Amino acid sequence: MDAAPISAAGLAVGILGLLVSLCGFAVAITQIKRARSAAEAAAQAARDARQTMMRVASVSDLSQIVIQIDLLKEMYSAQDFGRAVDRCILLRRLLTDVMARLPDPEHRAVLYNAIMQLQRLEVAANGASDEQTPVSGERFISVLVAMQQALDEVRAKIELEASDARSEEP
Amino acid sequence: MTIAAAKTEDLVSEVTIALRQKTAARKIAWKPTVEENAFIWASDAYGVSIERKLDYRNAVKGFELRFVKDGVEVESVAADIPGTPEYENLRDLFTLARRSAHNVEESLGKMLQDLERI
Repeated sequence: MDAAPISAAGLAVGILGLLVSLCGFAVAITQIKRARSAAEAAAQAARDARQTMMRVASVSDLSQIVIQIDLLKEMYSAQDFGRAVDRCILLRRLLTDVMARLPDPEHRAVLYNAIMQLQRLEVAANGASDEQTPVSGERFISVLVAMQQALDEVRAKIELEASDARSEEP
Repeated sequence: MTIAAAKTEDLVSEVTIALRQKTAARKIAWKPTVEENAFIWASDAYGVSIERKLDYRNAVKGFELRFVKDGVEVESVAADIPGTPEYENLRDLFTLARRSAHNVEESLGKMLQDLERI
């Protein structure tokens, strides 16, 4: 059986149809790309917001820790070793929580150092309260002052990073 | 001794030697602690402390190295027999850690400069 000849009008309609399909396909691809970049931008914005919240929480916690170290200094000066040990344990927990939020390895190392120092302070305070080890009050204070300075430096750096991140926001 | 225990002890020994080498090369900086005879070093995920143990006459009784992870002591090694490789390793590490924590070389260098000026 012979196929029917294609008329010029039929050919034009076919080509037009193909062009319309191609245009529709291009529009669909563009929409998909836009939707994907919008979703990526939303995900990035959520990540940034989360990081900002983490930084704010870390700054607030580190400020609290620095204040608590002042109380700890008073306890060691007053040779109130029982309460000092309890405070050291509490501070170690707080520092562990903050450390889990910090992505910067240098900041984490400073916090880990503080955790280790607090452990040694606990050991020394326990020894002092049992009168096993003679301890110098000045030594307790100098370790705590150095710890306070190091933690306050980290707090200031995180605060600066947070303020830089806010200024970069569109 | 089980194979697992032997493996852990080998690793502890290797880590001790690596700590000694890195401290000697000034790649890691130790910190003084509240105790005159204990020094610590912490990275972002774990920490170590080295301590010189004294007896009631203040004579050296031995050395102890502790490994801490997530705030908890996970392993420790102690040596109290002079002349054994463990004792020598820990004694050397303690000396290097003490020098690092107190910046002994800088202090001696400064002292030498001051003395040359006199």
